[in-house]
Amino acid sequence: MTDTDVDDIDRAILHALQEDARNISSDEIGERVGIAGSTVRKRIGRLESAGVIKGYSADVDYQRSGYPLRMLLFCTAAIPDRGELVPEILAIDGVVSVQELVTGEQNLLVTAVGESDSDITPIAQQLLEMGLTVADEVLVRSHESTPFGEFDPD
Amino acid sequence: MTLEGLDDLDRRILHALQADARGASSREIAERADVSPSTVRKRIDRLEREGIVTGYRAEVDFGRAGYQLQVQIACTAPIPEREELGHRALDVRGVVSVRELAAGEENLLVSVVAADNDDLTRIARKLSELGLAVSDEQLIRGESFTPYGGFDRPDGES
Repeated sequence: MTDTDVDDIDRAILHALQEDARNISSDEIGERVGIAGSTVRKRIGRLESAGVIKGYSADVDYQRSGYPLRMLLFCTAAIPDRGELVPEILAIDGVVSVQELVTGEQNLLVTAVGESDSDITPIAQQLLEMGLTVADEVLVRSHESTPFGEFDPD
Repeated sequence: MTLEGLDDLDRRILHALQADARGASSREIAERADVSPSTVRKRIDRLEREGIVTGYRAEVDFGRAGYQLQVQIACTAPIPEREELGHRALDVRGVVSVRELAAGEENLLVSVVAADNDDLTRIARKLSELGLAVSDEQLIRGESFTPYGGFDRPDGES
């Protein structure tokens, strides 16, 4: 799928799925956009197989779930290794996301969740063992997402 | 709802919803957990009501959707205004997420998706009009998520 293949209908579908990935049915999206639900299902299948949609996730308030520590670890990896390391980092127990930055000294931002410091320390240790430098760790007070405005048909 | 309020079934449900919020039906979660689908639906309602599940989101590869410019903008807000300015930043068109950090400097990390450089400039200007000091912009190569492992463990294990 090339960029030009994502049209207004696709964008409207992406917007709906960014607003509520679980409770909006394909038929409801179809009604909003003015096309059949079966067309929406086909479009979603295509967006998924082309990797435009990577997955669907629930946003969880970790603090309310009993895991009050969410730390952002600013790490440095050698540029050629960076991409390869991501699956390995995601596999560390407690890690919930990895962000790769193109430039800058800290080029991997790892988010880890735990009940206490003793959950976070081993994560930092494993990152070190992978050859990463952990330059800083900062408590994340909140992380809020919003649907991308350009997908909004209105 | 506190930690004591979350049991193994809740955690199992959270894990399933983090792994596939759209595809994991209550019936499938129920089968795996050996409870009835109506129990799972009630639990999900409760998790939503208590603010433990705050939403369901499609993860989009913006580059593949035709938006090549994904940038993380590091901003500094005065600490008393950090939370409010973070909320207001979310309303700027192009902003897709805001992280509030417990730090004095660079305490708001704003992720934006821009159509081009002019659009990026517009977004940075809006952020600065809100009262944020914009100190750094870095291109994002990609972002990957995984369900939290803590929800995938039976009670008492760590």
